[in-house]
Amino acid sequence: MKAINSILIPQFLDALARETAVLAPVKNGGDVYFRPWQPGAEIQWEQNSLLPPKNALFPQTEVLYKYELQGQDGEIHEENPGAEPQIIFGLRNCDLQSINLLDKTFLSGDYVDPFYQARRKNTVLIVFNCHQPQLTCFCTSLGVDPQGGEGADLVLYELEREPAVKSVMLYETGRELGMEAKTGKGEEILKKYRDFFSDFGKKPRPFTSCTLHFKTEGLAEKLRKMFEHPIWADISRRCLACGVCTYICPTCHCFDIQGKNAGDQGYKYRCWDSCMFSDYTLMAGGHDPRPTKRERFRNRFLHKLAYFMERYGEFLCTGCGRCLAKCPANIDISYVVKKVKEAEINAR
Amino acid sequence: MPASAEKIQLVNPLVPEKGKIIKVLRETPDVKTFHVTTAKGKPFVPMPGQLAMLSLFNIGEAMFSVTSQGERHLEFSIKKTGLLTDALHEADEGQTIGIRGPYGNGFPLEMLKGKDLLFIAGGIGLAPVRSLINFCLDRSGDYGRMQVIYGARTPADLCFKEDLFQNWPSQGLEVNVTVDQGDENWSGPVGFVPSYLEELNPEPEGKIVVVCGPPLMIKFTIQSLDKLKFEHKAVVTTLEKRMKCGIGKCGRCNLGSTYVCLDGPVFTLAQLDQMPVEL
Repeated sequence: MKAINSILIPQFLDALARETAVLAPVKNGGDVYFRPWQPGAEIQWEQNSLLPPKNALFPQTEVLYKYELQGQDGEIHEENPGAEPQIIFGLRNCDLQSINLLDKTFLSGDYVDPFYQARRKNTVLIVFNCHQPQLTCFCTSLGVDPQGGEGADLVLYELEREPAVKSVMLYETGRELGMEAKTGKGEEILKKYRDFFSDFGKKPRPFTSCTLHFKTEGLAEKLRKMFEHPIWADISRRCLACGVCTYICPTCHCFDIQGKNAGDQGYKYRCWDSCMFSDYTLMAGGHDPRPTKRERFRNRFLHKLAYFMERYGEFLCTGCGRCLAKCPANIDISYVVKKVKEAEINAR
Repeated sequence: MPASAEKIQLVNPLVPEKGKIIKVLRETPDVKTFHVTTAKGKPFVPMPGQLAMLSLFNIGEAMFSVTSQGERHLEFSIKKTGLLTDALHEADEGQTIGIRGPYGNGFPLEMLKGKDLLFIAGGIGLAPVRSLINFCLDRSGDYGRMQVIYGARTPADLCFKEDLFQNWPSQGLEVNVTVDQGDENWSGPVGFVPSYLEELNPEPEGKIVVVCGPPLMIKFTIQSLDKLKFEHKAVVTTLEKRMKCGIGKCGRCNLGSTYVCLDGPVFTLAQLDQMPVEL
């Protein structure tokens, strides 16, 4: 195990970025975004990013193929995934877990998504462990270890005997951070950039617990009996169906396939979609199996808390807290869970 | 370089193959059957009840059931009902078309073996069932007695008239056809499929029912089958949903944790009884 002084991190990223594209959390306006690292940029250590780094593996839009038309005739030109190597630096364990969940969707079963697979194979993940939650964090409720690093190539973490971090300045004035390789790719980086690292003998700083907490035992099982329960109509009433919860969610992965046509040529692209939108399940001829907010809202929460669990054995939520921080109607998944737990089940 | 660009095999299940419409047949005022082939011949060999994504590049893409197949082509019977199907109905022979598949589970052929088969369909719902009827007729030794109950809005809206009134009866299939509303040339039964089914009063013993049609027709047909004491594990239906990927990833066609495109579209009623059903 190694340590690196925080003051060296920008130089370390400069060195990495000379060879590979690096995405890192930097401040832009009042919010934090994953942006391509550029010399002189400033790492934002204190809060998680507004959007998860999902876009780097599963872009908001990507072209699948181009076509040309000539009267009745036409040709298809398939796009090459062409994923360049990239390093995602400083993602948190909630977003790391979301990548493990995206892997289940896109890389398991009979059909592998070649675009996602190409990006995933060419991506190095350097996770930054949390020691202190934000007010909206509840990863531990969903079984995510904020210092677990499961699926990361490298883990960066704070050390036990350092004073509590109060401001970004402490990072700028220099503090030791632990760095541990979890994979061969991680080892390779530690070896190649060894000049930045010292040997290290200190323990990681422990995590102070989340203020937001709920138990999930029996949740999926109970939800299975609550399909027709009145809580879905009750809670969804104030939903504006704006879709922001799905847009900022690190685990939401529903997509649409759309086309852009110009004269005798065009392209087909895949883009993010939202189960909260009214045309999501609307069929030709006008029939919609989920005609109102109630059904859409119910499907979203059941997908997160029951359906994905049935299919893949995990919740499709990592407790990052973005949806409850950004929902304009203050809909909060922990409140939904509370309501589910309180609900009495009579019929179905 | 910490990460090296590994070679990725390029088989994108979301990209269609180039095909061509080689024949267009008019079935009814709003249903046409399209014969589709590719440079290599038949794009794939679907099992009865399986699906394919068809696209007109500048219009859109949607999922259709394969209604029949020849040596070198697949057949799709398609009702004019939206953007893509409107454009398909305008297309002539020779039109380039995108095709990908096959998708879905298809009908449970093993379960049907040795049983009497009752096929119930409404409107364009006969299209997927037809693939199964023809499959079973080609292997009639494997199945018991076969019967079709079919209904459409008017006599003009009956699909596959040649099959209904010539080919199938001549192969020993009992065909019962009803229409919601007759005309001056119609001397057959008039009425909805569920009430016609109750009138015909088929015996549930040793029988598997395959039912497909518009959601409302399916709903009321199931009520009639319940009255006639058919067991839910002996009733098979095939569902439709809006679909984009066809491979269980884009999200929208789920019934609970089940994806209709991947795990369906064919389910027994007993299976559907266990699912949160949004039809």
